[in-house]
Amino acid sequence: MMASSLSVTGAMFTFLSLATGSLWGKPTWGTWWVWDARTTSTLILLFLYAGFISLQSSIDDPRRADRAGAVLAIVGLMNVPIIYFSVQWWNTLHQGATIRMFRQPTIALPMLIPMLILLAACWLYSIAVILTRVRCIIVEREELAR
Amino acid sequence: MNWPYVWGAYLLTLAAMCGELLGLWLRRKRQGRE
Repeated sequence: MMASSLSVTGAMFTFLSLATGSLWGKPTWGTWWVWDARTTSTLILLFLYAGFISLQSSIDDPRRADRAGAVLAIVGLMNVPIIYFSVQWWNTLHQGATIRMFRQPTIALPMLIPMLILLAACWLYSIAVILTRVRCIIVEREELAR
Repeated sequence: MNWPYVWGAYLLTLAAMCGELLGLWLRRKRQGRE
């Protein structure tokens, strides 16, 4: 239930990062889209989300839908480290990580502070929306069980 | 500054979030909880 609640918000944020990233890429790189490692692996993540959502909604029995979705989610999980390390493994147009755990961030401070505030806001928004959606799913399943 | 791109990104994000919240609100309304 949590996974199906997460998948919609996750797909929306993945789409937003690709769309706003291409809006940033046009004036910065001079192109809307390049098939480099980070953007392509993020696009695969979007397709995995779409596949997960359509698989779950195509099966009527919630238990069978959950099981099928779980298998796809485990397969899809392999993509997460690929996305994270893609800028280190391959030499790409996309810049490397700007914020590291134990090193000085390479991003300018006037950009770092708003980014951290927005990051916190996006986390809080996601948590609120996901918990509200999971409540909806619980109510719907309770009605189905009656 | 490339303001049209900035505004484009801002409005797109705002529209996506508002769309999601609206969908969620409609779903709760259908359940009779709003």
